[in-house]
Amino acid sequence: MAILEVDKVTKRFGGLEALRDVDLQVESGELVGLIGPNGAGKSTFFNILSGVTRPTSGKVFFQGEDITGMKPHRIAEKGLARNFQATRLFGNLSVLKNIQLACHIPARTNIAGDVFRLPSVRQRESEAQQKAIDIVKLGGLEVVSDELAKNLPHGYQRALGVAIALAVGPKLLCLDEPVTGMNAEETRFMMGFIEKIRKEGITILLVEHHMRVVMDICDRITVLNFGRKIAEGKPDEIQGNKDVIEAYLGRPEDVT
Amino acid sequence: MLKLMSRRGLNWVIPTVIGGSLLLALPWFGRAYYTHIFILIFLNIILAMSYRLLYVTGLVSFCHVTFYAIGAYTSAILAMKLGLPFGICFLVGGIAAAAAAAFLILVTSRARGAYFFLISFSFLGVMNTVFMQWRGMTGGASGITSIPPIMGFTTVTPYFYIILAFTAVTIFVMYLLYRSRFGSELMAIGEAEDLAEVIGIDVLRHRMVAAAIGALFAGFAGSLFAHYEGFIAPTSFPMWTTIYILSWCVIGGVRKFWGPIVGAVLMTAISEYGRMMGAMQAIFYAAVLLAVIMAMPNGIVGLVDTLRTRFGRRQYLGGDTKLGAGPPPVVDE
Repeated sequence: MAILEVDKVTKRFGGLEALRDVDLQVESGELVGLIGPNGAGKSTFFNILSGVTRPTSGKVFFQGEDITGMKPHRIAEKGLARNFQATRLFGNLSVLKNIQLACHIPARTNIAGDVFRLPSVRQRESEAQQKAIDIVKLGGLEVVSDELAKNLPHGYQRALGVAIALAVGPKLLCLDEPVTGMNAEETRFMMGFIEKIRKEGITILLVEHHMRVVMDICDRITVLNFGRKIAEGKPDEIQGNKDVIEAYLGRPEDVT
Repeated sequence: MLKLMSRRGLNWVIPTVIGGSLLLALPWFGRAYYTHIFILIFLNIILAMSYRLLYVTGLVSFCHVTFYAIGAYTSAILAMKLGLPFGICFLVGGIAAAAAAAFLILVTSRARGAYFFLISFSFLGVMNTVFMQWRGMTGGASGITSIPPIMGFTTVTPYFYIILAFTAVTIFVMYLLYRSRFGSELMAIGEAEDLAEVIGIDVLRHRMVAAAIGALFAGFAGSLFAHYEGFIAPTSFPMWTTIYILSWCVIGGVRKFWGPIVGAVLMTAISEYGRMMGAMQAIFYAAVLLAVIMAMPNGIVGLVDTLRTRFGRRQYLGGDTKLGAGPPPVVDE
């Protein structure tokens, strides 16, 4: 069964059509890439999946359930997590605390119990803490685990963004340009992290500009251009696709 | 280790005991005027701490004084019109303020920044009009006089102890709140609201609860104030009060638990001292505010903390050692 099924999603901002009739299916366990030139609608698409914006029309099904227009925190609870393209962190909290805050979804509790530290809450909190430590290790963030998030170098900040999303305990992880602005070494590090996440059995939807990364690790790729899906297929099919090459490089007659 | 801990413990215990005893003894050797000033300081501490709760989630409101006023009016009206005992008036006053705050957050759920600030300003305006115009209940501009005292006390001293005790309760409850995951989640919302949302925090619900708890304590403080003074009117709650509350938080260091307390104590004392200067009072206050903002952008407590980490023991070792030893303690923020 498809874990994610997007059915004819359209999003208009006033007169601007950011997405038009986009369909997408992601099977459980897959790593699907979503690519396209700047302004193709990838980020809007992610915002719709995570409930940050509502589509103008169309539906999103997650594990067979209609999640269109649901609030972001409800969607996160269902097991769909994301990071942000622009680095978003809890800057004045430590790395571990950043992750620990996201580790709460199975440990949801009421505020009163939380404030008065009932034994059940303590138990859950220590479990959340253990889980946070595991994720710190998985993401290779041990050395910086006590630093404030805002003081980290860029590469670590991006890795922390992914680690926070992972801490939500997702079944589907949506990664928005995880290797943006990274040097070769940082990129390799991040690809290793994504591989590890994948080995945990988590389905991944990846938006990325870095073609080497996309072609290397994705099972399937979907290409958007000007809000429409122009191609879909395996990496080598996409590399040879005429429409995709045109979208990225322009048509030969445009050049002359 | 044990020795170290007990030494560290003693460092705190001795000044606390001395300071605490001095404070407790104050009404017996100071003039009644000083006792009165301390009562104002206590009420201001409650206002500053309760204001911080919504502030840390990223919402700066202009109407905190309105919750204080709602608590005061509700409590006074219940006591005057229905002759209810103080305890009930106090509780209902706080709850009325909390309900108003939760409602305000609910209807402004999409407003942020300047927009929220202005809407809260409008709310203050509306409530001021209610206090002025609903004469049958609020007494209009002349207010409510001879509000029954708490348990018949007519001197300042018992109020000093009652309000001190309640301030201690407030500080303790706030401490529990900020220590909890809920408190950390409020901070997280203030840091990055959109990220907080996608990691599963119900931002609106958290803000409503934070605002309600803040207003609850502000309302309780208002009730104490009404029954202590015995008189309230719209002029008891000037709209600039919220700006003063905000300035206490900033001066003390709003990111720090003790910041609003230090700010409220210091600035209330300074503005009382400044009364002697007459017209210069406002300028003096402004000068102190500017000096603190420029010299200590993280407030007084923020600066103290920075100095402590720079010159004192390192708090965290960082790296694997720390992970092996377990994560840093979750306190304060």
